[in-house]
Amino acid sequence: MRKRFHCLFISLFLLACTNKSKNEIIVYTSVDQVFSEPVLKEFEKQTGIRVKAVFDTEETKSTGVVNRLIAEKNNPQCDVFWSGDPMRADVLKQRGITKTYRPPAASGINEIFIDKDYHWIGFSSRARVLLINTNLVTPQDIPSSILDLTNERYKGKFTIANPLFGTTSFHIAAIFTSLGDVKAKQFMEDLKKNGVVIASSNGDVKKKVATGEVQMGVTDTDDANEAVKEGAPVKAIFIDQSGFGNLIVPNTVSLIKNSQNNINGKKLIDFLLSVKTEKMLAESCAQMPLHKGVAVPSTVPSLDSIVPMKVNYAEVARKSEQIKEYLKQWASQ
Amino acid sequence: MNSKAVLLSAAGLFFAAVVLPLCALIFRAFINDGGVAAESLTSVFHKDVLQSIGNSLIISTAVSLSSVLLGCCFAFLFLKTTILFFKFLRLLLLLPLLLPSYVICVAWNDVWLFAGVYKDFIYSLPAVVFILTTIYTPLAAFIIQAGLKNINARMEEAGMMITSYKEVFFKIVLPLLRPALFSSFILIFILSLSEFAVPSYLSIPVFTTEIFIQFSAFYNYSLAITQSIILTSICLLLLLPEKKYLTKEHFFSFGKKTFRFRVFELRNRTLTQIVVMLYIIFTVLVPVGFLTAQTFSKTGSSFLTIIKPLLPSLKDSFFIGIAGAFMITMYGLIFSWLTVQFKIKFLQTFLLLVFAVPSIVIGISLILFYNTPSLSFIYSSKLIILVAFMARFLFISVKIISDSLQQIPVSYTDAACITGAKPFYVFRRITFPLLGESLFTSFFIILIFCLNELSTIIMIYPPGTSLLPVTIFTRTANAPQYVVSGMSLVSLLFTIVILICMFFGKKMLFNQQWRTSR
Repeated sequence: MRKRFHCLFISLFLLACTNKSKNEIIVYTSVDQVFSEPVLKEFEKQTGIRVKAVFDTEETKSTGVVNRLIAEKNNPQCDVFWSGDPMRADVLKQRGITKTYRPPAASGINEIFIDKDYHWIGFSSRARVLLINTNLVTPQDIPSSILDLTNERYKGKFTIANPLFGTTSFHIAAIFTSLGDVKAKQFMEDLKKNGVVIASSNGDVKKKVATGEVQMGVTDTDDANEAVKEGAPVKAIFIDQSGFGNLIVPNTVSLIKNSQNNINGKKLIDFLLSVKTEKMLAESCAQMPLHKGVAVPSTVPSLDSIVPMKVNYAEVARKSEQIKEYLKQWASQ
Repeated sequence: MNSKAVLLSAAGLFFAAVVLPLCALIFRAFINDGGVAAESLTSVFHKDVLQSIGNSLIISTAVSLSSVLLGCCFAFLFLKTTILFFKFLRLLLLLPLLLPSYVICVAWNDVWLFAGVYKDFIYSLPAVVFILTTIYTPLAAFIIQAGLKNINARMEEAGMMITSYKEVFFKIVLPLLRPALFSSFILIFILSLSEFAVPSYLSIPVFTTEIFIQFSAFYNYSLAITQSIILTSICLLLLLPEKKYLTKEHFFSFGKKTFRFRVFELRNRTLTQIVVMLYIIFTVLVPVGFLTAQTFSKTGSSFLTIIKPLLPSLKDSFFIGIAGAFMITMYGLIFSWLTVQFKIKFLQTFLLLVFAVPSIVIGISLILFYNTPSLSFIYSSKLIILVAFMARFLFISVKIISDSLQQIPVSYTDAACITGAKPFYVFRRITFPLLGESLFTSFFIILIFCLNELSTIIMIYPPGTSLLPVTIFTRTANAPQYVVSGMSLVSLLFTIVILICMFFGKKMLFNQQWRTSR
């Protein structure tokens, strides 16, 4: 009798722990929780499908979710991966973790933001900007190109995040594809010689500029927007507007191969690619919609008003993989 | 089935749950990708890697030595002298241990920048050593205090009849305290060697950041795992000469407290009081105060808006933390019993090996092992978090409990057996009550670690689960500073409230009048 009771107890315990329901979806996201969670809640409200999320952040270099997806390849738990940039989505594509899905909502998005095999589709984008501390930098001292940071006048006064991680690695890879390896390496060496301060993350870049620890730094528009909202004396500058353009970094969404809730996964992808989501992200973190005609706050710049860096995102993602060893050495010098 | 078989089965379950995944991972790294493993072994001799190993060793050694030295001073002052408000000061000293290390690091960074401290110090090795020392000093003080409690005042008094207390301290007290000093050194050495957040934030390359880069930037598991094995081997090599202490000496002492212990009048009490208070103000209250100031810096910022998103995390963290601490303490008792009563001594060294494995490697091993259709019920549930806690912290619990178990006089249990009491009755009525304090200590320390664990659980927490350190960390990136600081304060208060409740619970459960009150 006692043994049976124990068996029953253990079974109930395991059942309580497992607690799986069909009407749910599992999403892994490297987009900061403070921005992604409200969107996922809205999806829940709209569809009645319960979203179970695993959040990560660029502060952790998105180690959690990407490593998890790679490790889970043979028995995927996740249905949808919402990435903050195309690079990680492309890593997963190359490793055979994502699958093709051509959502109807993708038709309104410029094809440069979509993987040619539809393993990832871009939406709401950020841009890489130069964040300047307005108390320390006069208008005439603002560099117009990222290449100007190698100028002697900015020596030791600027910062970038560790180029091995996050959107910074993507940015550097984009510079490599635009300039070519030789010129790009020279640029990196010149940055080093000019006393670049390497921050631990883009958030750290924001903090260093906002507190005046350095005069300027290269970061993402969402970080810049947060600094402005906090009342810091900062301004975001789009760079290289008369040169090779400013890098635009779209969010991406991918469907995971062999996942358990493919149908719900597709519903979430459709929702994320909708105008409604782009509007929400524009309002919460100043992300620029990729659909035309989305009503956004006046503080959100339009993609039409920026000269974008003309890059092939998949090519940049692959370049990023190729130059990692070089960047590791560069960062540790 | 006899009791040994039952306990061995339980230990076997631990090996199956924790050690098997690690072995499978090592096998995968060495056998499946043998070529890469060979390459990674040679990679250790690369200049950068050697430098990061050197930094790791310098940081660990400096932090362990300074924490033990400071911890020893505080333990002595709080326990053996007439210093005022010692209970309150002891609680204050504990605060840095109750917060995740990255929160303390960010707070210190802000303080230093605010105070205009020279940047070459802020982003330097001494800064890492300083921050980690403030975090681990209370742990050393806690362990050494337990050791000090065990020293019989009669020995000190006998010594003082023929010489000064200074001589007594160095020739009697310190040698008797050696096990506690060494145990705290080992624990802090391993904890600071595997520390990632603080050196990473301050841009100091250490071996854990090297491993992290291989995982997160290169997705090169084989190389990262091989490097982790090297890290673990370094731990073992350094600790090997003192293996005797690892297995035989006491981590926490207990059992002979029927005697009174001596409390000394401080010759310069006011000066000592000022020095202690200045230390606590400077190393504890300044960063915590800065977090508080940042929280309330925003005009009209409501503390409720900060707490609201944390509520689900508070609930999950509380239950999982309690379950983890309870389970580990119970397992600690089982392993201690096997070590002490059945003389299976190698178990502790084995657990030390698991303890020295970097948290990120534990995370990957658990994913690869449990994420299969047959074990999905563990992987997709909160059970996986408990398994991770076991892997991370069981060694600490076993050390605490086994040392106490060793000190229970055999005559007590023998006497009960002679009267015809059955083994379980003897355990329930004699051994268990005598172990009460060490079980509580184990539960207390493990709970603190479980509530703050981030590096492993961020890799394995089940979708939809919300744990406090993860929630705070994932919101850190783009939340305003006052929200991040406020969340850290909530986390601190949450832990303090739980610990205070535990102390009251302890007083009711283990009310042993015969013990000294300090």
